[in-house]
Parts: sequence; structure tokens; C-alpha cells
Amino acid sequence: MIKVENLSYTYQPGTPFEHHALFDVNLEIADGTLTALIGHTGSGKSTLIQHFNALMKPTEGRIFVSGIDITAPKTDLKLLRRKVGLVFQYPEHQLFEETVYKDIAFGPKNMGLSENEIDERVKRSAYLVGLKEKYLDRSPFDLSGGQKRRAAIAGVIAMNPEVLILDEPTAGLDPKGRDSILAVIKRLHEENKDMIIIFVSHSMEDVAKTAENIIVMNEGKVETKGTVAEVFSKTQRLQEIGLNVPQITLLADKLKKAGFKLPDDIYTVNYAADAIAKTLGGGGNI
Amino acid sequence: MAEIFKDIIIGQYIPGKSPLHRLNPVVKIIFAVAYIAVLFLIDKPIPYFIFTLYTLTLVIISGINIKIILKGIRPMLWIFIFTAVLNVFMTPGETIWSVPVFSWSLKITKEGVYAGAMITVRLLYLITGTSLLTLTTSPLQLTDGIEKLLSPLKKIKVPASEIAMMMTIAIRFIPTLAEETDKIMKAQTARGADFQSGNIIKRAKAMVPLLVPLFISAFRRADELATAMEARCYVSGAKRTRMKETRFTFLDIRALIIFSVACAALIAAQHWIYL
Repeated sequence: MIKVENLSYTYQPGTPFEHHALFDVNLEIADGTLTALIGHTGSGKSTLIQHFNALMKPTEGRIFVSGIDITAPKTDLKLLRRKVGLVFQYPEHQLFEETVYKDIAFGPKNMGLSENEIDERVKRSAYLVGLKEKYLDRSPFDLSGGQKRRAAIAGVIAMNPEVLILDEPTAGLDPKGRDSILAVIKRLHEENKDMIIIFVSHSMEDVAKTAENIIVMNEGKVETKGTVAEVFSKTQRLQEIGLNVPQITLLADKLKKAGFKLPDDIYTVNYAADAIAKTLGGGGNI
Repeated sequence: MAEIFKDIIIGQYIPGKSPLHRLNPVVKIIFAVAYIAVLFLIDKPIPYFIFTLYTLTLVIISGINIKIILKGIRPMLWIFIFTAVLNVFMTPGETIWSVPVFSWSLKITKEGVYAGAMITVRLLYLITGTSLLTLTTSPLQLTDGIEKLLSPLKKIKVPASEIAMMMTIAIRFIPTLAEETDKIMKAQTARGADFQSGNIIKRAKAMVPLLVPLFISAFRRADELATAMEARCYVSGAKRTRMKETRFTFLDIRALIIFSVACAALIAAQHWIYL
């Protein structure tokens, strides 16, 4: 479980450039959940997730990861970073090894694992991100954009983290690439029952398709949190802070206003299609 | 801005409205060159004293906090100490103090002390003078000035505008690459990379996961920039006009006269005063 207590972070305190990036953040994220972190640019999302593996130290407040206070001065940061895997934006920009295999092995190698275990982990994480084994001997720079990103994510997964955080994992990918990354996140969630997965996203569609819970950040504070249904029922408030609900939800709202009988929890296109077909007396299923 | 670069003030510009800021960059560059030339011409106490006064005056006129200039000198401290020590012990001359080291003796000579002091002062003012130039001149103005100064060489086919463009781009990308370095370091740290501990060979090896992505990113950016420039019809060697023309003003002429007289006075002092 991740627990955040009264977390505040100030950039360059005491200078004219002082900037409060986070302000009294309180959160609890349970084991085995898949959470989306959404918010406008500059709302403090990136700052928040960098706190989770102590790349940034809070100005005030405390953070607990599986019961350990990671903000305490003597925390073993190396150990913590094995527990909390962080996939940065455009993670493929950090690939550097000659082969995909070696690059994925970089993390486990730094952990001092045995050759056998490294081999096992590399193959397992490659499988989890959907990279075929024939790619493992290629140079990471010969892969396509989506494949590169999956290889980079595999590099973090190979460290077997208890918490996996992904900062905008689908940014800059084509629709096919996006879907494949989201599918990877879902598969990771399904195959690792205790793993906490948190991903930052700007696409409400991606969030609706993938996440269970949502945390909404606004101006350094937690605006609202809850299940996908709870958060996406607050259409007006989300729009006020520069966010939105999925387009299909807006369409469903309009249809409902026009007199169609539709359920309230329409967030994905497939579900909407079924619901509309049902209400029209059809068989459903497209 | 990345942490690792916070102490480097080379290329940093502090906006202001002082006369030094307002001077034509061409004039300022000529001043800087002359300043250095004079600094290496003089070698007696009184001229150095006068030179110190000049430098202080310039710093005061620039309105730049002396702390910022001192901060720029700090990274050079070891070079100062190293050259000073080398000079103090290695210059032959009249011995004033000697320590026997095995069969050989370490000697401090009068000439050595003098040479050590001189080289330290020279380095100190060298950095101060050039820092003053970059601190009061924006990178764009600076390259503009260099282009103007190089433009006579266009006759012998020196690509002055291209050199200036290259400098502008290089300066522009320093903060970008610094940020990138910071980002990659964080990402590799998250994967268990350790940049801080171990001996020198281990640390050099630890740099590979940082340098490879950094170079790739620099090449990618260069490539993208080249495409963007071509898309906007950048042709090397084409005749271009400027959005902001720099002109010679009355201020420049006044500054030129004052500076020439000051230089002349210094050289005269060096020549005719015994000390």
C-alpha cells in the first residue's frame, strides 16, 4: 500500500522563483489496484510520482510504501527503487545497450542477480510487454516506436517492482501503439495480483478503458479520487479544471437528454454500442 | 535547470539596463580582447593596481552583483592554486626559503612568489573580464557581434554568418541538454544505476547509460532542427536582414574614447614607472 500524508513540495524555496508544486496531498493506494492519475499540465502529477521512489524529497509530509517511511533520512534508496519502478515519459529515450536483451537486463544486473535469474526475468518481462523473443538480440534502435517503448517498460518490469508507475505511457504513439501499451498495462495488472500500478494520462478514453480508480490533480492538490464511475460522474467539475470525461460519455449524456434510456456508467465505446443496441431493441454486440 | 550545471556561469546572461548592457556588442567584444591584451602586457605592481581599479569600476558600472562573478570564479579555484604553487616552487632565482626533500631541496624563490602572484591575478582578471562580457550581453547579441567582426573575412570565403548561427544554436541548446541529462540520470537511477560511488573506472563506466542516450538525443534534436530550418527556407549563405539592428550610438563612441585613453594610460604607466 502507498500512503501519502500531508505531502507538500516547493520548487526553489526562498527565491523569487518559488513555486508550490504540491500542496497538502493525502492519498492511499491499495495493493493490487490499477490507478490512473489525471490532471492538467502543471497540476503536479509528475512531481508527485517522482516522490514515490524518492527521486524527489518532500518539503513537508511523509510517504509510506508498504509500511516503510521512504521520507525518513536513512531509507535505503537502492532497495526502495527496486520496490518502486518508475517508467518516465518517453522511456525509449533512455535505451542505451547494444541489444534489447542487455538493456532489459540493466536493472536486474544492478540488483546483483545471478545470470540465470536475470535471464528468466528478461524473458518474462519481454513476454509481459508482448515483445517476441526474436527481438531480444536486435539493437533497441532498430525497433519501431511502440516496440522501443515496450522494451523500455520491460526494463523496469524486470526489476520486479511492487509498485509500477508509468508517466504518460502512451504519449506520442499511434493508435495501434497506444492500444498495445494499454493492453500491456492491463495484462500486468491481471498477472501480478499484488502489484500497484499507477499511470499518468491525458486521454480520458485511455483511462476509461484501462483504469479501476482515478486520482484527479489540480493546482498541486488532489481534486477528487474514486472509482472510474465516481470520478466520471463529475462532468462539470472536471471540465472546470480543464479536463473532461470521455467523448462517448458526453454523447451518452446528450442521448439521455433526448429521451433515450441508457445506463449512467457509459465510459467506453464498446459498452455504449451495446447499451444503445439494447435500448433500440437489437441484440447488442457489434 | 539541472542541478549539476548550477555553478557554471559561462554563457549566462543577466538582463539589465547598465551602460555596459547597452553597449554595441561589437564594441564590447573589441573591449574584451583589448582588456585581455593589456592584462598580459603589464607586469608591474602599479599598473596592476590601476588595472584592479579599472576592473572594479567596470563591475560597478555593470550593476552585476559581485557574488555572481565570484561564483563563476569558484570552479577555477583549483587551477589557480595549481598554477600558483607550480610557479612559486619552479621559478629559478634568489632563494628565500628552502626545505630539504631527500637529496633534493624544495626552494621558494623571490621571483617564484612574484610570478605566482602575477599568474593568479592574471587568471582572476581574465575570467572576470570575459564573464563581464557574457553576463552583460545576451547570446544573440554576442553572436551578432561576432558575425559583424568576422564579416570582413567573408571576402576570403570565411562563412561568418554560418559560424554565428552555429554558435547561437550551440548556446541555445546548453540548457536543453542540461535538462535532458537530468532526466536521463533520473531514469537510469530509477533502474538502479549508480553515478556517485566507486572508483574512477567504475564511475566512467557508469556514465555509459547516461552518455549514449544523451548523444542519441542530441543527434535527433540536431536532425529535427535541421529539418525545421530547411522547412522555413534556411539557406546557408543567403543574405539576411535582422529583426533588431544594432547601431553605433553616442554611448559607444564615448565608451571607445574612455577605454582607449584608459588603455593608453596603463601602457604608459607600465613603460615609464619603475615599479
